[in-house]
Amino acid sequence: MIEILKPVIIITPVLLVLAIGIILFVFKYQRRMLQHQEHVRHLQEIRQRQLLDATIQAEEEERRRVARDLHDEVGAMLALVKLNVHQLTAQSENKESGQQVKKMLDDVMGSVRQISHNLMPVVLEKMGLGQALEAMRRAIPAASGVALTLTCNQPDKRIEPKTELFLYRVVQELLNNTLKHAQASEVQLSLQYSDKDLLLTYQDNGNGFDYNSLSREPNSGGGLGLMNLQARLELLNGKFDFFSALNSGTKAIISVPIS
Amino acid sequence: MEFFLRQIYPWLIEVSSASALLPFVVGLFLLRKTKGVLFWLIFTHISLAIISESVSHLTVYLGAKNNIWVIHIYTLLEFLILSSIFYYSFRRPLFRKGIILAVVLFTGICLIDAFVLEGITQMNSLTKVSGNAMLILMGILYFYKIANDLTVTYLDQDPVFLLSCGILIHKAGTTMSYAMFNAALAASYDAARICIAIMLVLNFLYYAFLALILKRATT
Repeated sequence: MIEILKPVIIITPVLLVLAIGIILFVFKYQRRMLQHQEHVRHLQEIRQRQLLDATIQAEEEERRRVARDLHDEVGAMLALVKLNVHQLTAQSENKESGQQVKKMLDDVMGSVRQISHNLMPVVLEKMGLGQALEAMRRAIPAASGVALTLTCNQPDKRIEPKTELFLYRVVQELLNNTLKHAQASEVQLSLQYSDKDLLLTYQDNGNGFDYNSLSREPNSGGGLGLMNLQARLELLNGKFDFFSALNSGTKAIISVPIS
Repeated sequence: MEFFLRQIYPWLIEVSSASALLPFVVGLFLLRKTKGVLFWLIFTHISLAIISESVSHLTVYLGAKNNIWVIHIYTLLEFLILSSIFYYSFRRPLFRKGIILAVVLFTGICLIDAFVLEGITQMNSLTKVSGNAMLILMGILYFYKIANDLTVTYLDQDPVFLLSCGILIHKAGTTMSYAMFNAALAASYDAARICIAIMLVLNFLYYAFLALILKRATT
């Protein structure tokens, strides 16, 4: 009996061991492939972050160059034009039109200075985020009807220049949105430093908008500015929470590590 | 050996026959939870096993001396259902065409084996061995698919992967017993019983595993 069963007794365990071996191999191989895929994804993420960082740095560099050109070249040329107009006006009999031209030139120079300042705020580089935001508050035109209240627990504290610049741009974008679309009368901006984090809270009492529907349609183009902010803050490993609904104003809470 | 064949073997037959009820009962409990095609195919596979066991017992009860014809029919239907599961799981046209070809080929082998070669009263060794080989190949093809697609993160959650494992172990374990069954039966009844005992143990494990697969097929 044993003789006839020999093939069964020998081959069956071998086949079973082979089957279990194949299953274990597939388990291990699949796990390894998943780990590899995860590693590649991680590398791609790092590369994307580096690319984004480089793009933003290039953008800032370009802004700095345009700001410098506007201030040093266009500003200087306008000052020269103004001087010539002044001399011409002094020699001319029609002083009134000369004064008008000088007034227009003053406006143009003011605009150029403002644009240059917005492109690259000197106060931010020299005195830090708290003071730069204070300067931004003062620069809001009275005609806009918006009053900005700024609170900061350490106005003179300095943090990494890149973080300061990114946060300044974020506030600039939020304030631009408020001035353009929100029809708000009050904006509250709070800057709270702790040992590890910086918490920035921005709130306006404007119209607000349906943020949930906007975020559900990221390709609509409407949320491009907010997506840009989010991308900037991700580079700082920061958190960006945005709340807005129709007739309920807008609130943004931003937290970035500073230690 | 004598003790095993006289004391344990009869008990093993009863346990193995009843073991198909375990996934069937689990399937009945899960019936309301799912409407997936995969679940229904696996449940049909289990139902077929129950019907096959019942008809085998009924045939013996009615006094027929040979009930191997049930295995002939069951083998063909089981292959069709398991092939459908793999057909449903693959997306590549090449694999799907291969499965259709395997079904056609296997049906031909079944008919030739039953009516020309071994006969309906003999164990369908040739059919079993060829069918098991094709099913093992389909299981390995599924392993290839999941190892390359990487769409499944946790393999133990994938019912088709679990079914492929079950098929691989069950078919690899029983193939030699089926292949040698007719020769063993010609030698002695006890030798044939040893072959059957191997099949019974693996059937029991396979049906218990099917209960888990059904559970996974609902999620």
